[in-house]
Amino acid sequence: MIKRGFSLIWSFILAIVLGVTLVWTLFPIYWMISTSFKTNMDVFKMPLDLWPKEFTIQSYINLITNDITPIGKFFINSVITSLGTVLIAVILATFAGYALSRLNFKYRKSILMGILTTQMFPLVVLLIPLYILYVKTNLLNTYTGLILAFTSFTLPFGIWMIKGFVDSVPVEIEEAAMVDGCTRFQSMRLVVFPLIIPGVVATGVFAFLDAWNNLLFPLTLINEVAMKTLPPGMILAFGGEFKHDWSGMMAASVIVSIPVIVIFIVIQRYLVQGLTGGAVKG
Amino acid sequence: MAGLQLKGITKKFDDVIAVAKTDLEINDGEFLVLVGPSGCGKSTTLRMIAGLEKPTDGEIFIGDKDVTYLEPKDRDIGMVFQSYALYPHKNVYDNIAFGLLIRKFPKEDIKKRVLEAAEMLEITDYLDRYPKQLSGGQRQRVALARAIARHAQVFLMDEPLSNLDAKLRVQTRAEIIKLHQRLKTTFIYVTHDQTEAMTMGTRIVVMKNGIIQQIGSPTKIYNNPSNVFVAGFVGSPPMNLIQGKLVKDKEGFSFISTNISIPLSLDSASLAENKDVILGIRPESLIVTDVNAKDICFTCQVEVVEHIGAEAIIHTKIDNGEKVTLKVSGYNTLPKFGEVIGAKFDLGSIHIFDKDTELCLVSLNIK
Amino acid sequence: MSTKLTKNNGREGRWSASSKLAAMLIAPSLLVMGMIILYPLIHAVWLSFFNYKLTRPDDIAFTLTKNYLRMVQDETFWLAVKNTLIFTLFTVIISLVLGMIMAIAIDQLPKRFSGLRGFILVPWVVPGIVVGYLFMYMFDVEVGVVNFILQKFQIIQEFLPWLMNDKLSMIAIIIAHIWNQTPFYMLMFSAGLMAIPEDVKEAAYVEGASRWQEFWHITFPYLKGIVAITSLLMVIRNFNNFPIIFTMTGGGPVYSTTTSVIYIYRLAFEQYEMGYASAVGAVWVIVLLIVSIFYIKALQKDF
Repeated sequence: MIKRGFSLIWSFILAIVLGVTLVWTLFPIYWMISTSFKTNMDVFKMPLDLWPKEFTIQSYINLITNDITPIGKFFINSVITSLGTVLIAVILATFAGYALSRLNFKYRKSILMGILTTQMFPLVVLLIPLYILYVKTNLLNTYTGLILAFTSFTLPFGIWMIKGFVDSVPVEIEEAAMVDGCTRFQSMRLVVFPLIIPGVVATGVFAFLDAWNNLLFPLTLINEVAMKTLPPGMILAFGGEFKHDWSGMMAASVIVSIPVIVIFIVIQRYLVQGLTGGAVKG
Repeated sequence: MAGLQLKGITKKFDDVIAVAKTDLEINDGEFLVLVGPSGCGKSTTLRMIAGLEKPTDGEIFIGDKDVTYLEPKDRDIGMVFQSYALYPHKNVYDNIAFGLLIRKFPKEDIKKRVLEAAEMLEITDYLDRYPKQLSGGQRQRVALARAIARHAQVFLMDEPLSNLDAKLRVQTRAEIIKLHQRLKTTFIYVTHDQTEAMTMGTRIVVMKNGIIQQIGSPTKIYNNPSNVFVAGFVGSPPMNLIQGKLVKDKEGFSFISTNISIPLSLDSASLAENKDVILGIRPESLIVTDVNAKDICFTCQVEVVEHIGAEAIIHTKIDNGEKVTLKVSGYNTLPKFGEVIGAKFDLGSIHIFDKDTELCLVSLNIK
Repeated sequence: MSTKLTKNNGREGRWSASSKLAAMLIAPSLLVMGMIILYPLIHAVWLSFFNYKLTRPDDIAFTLTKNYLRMVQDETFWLAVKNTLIFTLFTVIISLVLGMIMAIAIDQLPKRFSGLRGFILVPWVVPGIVVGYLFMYMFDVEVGVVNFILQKFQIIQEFLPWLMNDKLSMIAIIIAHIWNQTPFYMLMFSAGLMAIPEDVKEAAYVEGASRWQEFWHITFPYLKGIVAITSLLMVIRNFNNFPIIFTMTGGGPVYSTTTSVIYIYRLAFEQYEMGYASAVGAVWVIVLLIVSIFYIKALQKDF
């Protein structure tokens, strides 16, 4: 359509809104990065410097070489549990999402609503019984235990997202495939799956973010230092007496944030598509 | 190649009856058209033949094989969908080849058949394009090619032309007829468009509310509609239907309406004195005549004149308020709006329907 | 007769085939969710009827009402509820308005600037624990950049102890959440704006509607559904929000930023009051279920 012409005042307001938005959004990120390259001397000096006066990567070196809070080990734990969650969540959500979209069976609606409702439960409430359950089943301090916990909390969203995408694939295409000789499973694998890849990617990314960012599960279900993921690892490293190692804290923050921000920027096109393609519903 | 048999096929969706107990025999190699208004059960019938819908009751045979409980893949059918349902992520070649690939045909064979089908439908130039890069007409051809590449026993088509523009539709219609003549396979074709049905089918099944109204050749359906619905559904513009009564005198029965009196000069056991009936006459069986002419049937007032080249359609109103349409040659001098004209019978037939049962009581040729 | 029987069997078989496939495809998901969510939830309700302290393992006893009666008289519990409501109300309303403004502003830009949306979305994916530590640092009384900037623009005279003052701490926490959540609103509203058919906007333009009229009569009615759904979803999320508050203040000073979930956590893992914490949790689940019903109703209405 013809975009309306902009009056001068309107353009001015627009420019200010966008300018403020950008500063508001990006300044904290900038501040985090810039502090992580400062010495703690600089951090404590007033007036503050917007740009590190003495550029140093000492904080990062300290983090990596620290044996009491092995951030490298935490990082690996986070990667393993997050990728494990992505793998399992994507497979389970694809199966369940397909079935809930395409197959007609008893209790379909109740299951859909039930799945949606689980998303609303406060995780905190589940921690006590879950802890007891994990002690009994020897899942405490295991990757399996964490992956299962992460998966269950990202699944509702994933199932709804995949369901939305499968809904958008015309039924006739699958019917054509069946006339062409496909079984249900073949049509799901060869025809539907290639068409819902954006939804699968979005589900995987959300699963990754959910797992990577989760604090409560590893905080309670992991008590061995060597098994901790990054969020509880950060609490261990910067709670208490190290609270004022600001530069180190920001360096750790950068390390925790970088994977999610990079992944997010790479696939954000898919995410917007995912949200408009059906996830708005979940 | 094979014929089909539907025995007492019934389909209910919850409590709604989509197809009532239906028997239908389809001969090997015939072009059968299922036609009717939307919701008449024609698509459901086709989908049950395809195996995409399970019948609530009854049996379906393809050839001698009972396929009622078989999956679509085990029925050896080809199908063209209204939306074409091409695989968006596969190019034209792979779209056509997919069914062969799934059935594990040897690679060489697949290539031969795909090229053969593509050639038949003149889409050889687009084989490496994707569906979204094709026009509606090209997609339609790909859908047809995909259906025929497998040399299935039966081809099912569900309103395959309804997404094309008018000109392309006429063109493709002719091509599907040619395709049928060439393949000599059984075609079952669903449409809501009576023109398509009349031009394409070797046999037509007219359906309404899940019930078959009439089965027959296009000529039979046109000349001997078995009830008011078929009479009104087939033909464009549709048959005039005028309500009236039968009166008997020495010469036989006459049809009487407000200011119309038509001697039928016949006596038939199916007719009875004072019976409420509907008289049906096709617009092209009426011609304009002078109001004072001797052989006039009735007079009517002109409401609209549609001049469409060689023909003209005159919409009029008779005294009791009912509408009557006349289809005349466009080369005549045409009456004006508001003019009162006379109408008389020309070639064709008159049909008398029972007003209550709506069944045809008698059809007679105009002398 | 016998044919009739086989016929029915065939049909039954088909139906159960479809259900069997559905069951096979859904079962793994339900199993995982049942184990991690449903079973613990039921167990939590069960625990809420026990006098159960980890510090006194010898003194575990069933009591139907004790925990619930204690809750009614527990001032901290009611303070936590009040804090949750204040925190959620302000966070949701302010983020919603800001998100709407951002979405509309970006919608005005030519297509080639739409990459900007990606940048603006970044705060939303930053892990909660990072948001918490980052804002704890920025709101620090000695080295915080917030104090520094406010003083520079002469809005404040002296550095404020944001996180150590029981009134300011809530403000700081709300600001951190707004920063974190506004992009999500923007994303949802952007999606909504893109879904408005061009011809409707064109019709309004042709009929001479002003920009403001266009927003009020065209854009807003289209967005209403998304506004309702997004706000309800975010009310639920904020009722459950944990990591940012936990890292920034831990619920303090004293109980000034303790929301219901933080209170449950503190009861369970600082005071080891397992029974009582479960009771508070059970009540909170019921509150959330009620909000969820509204949310699901809104969803069904709009989609």
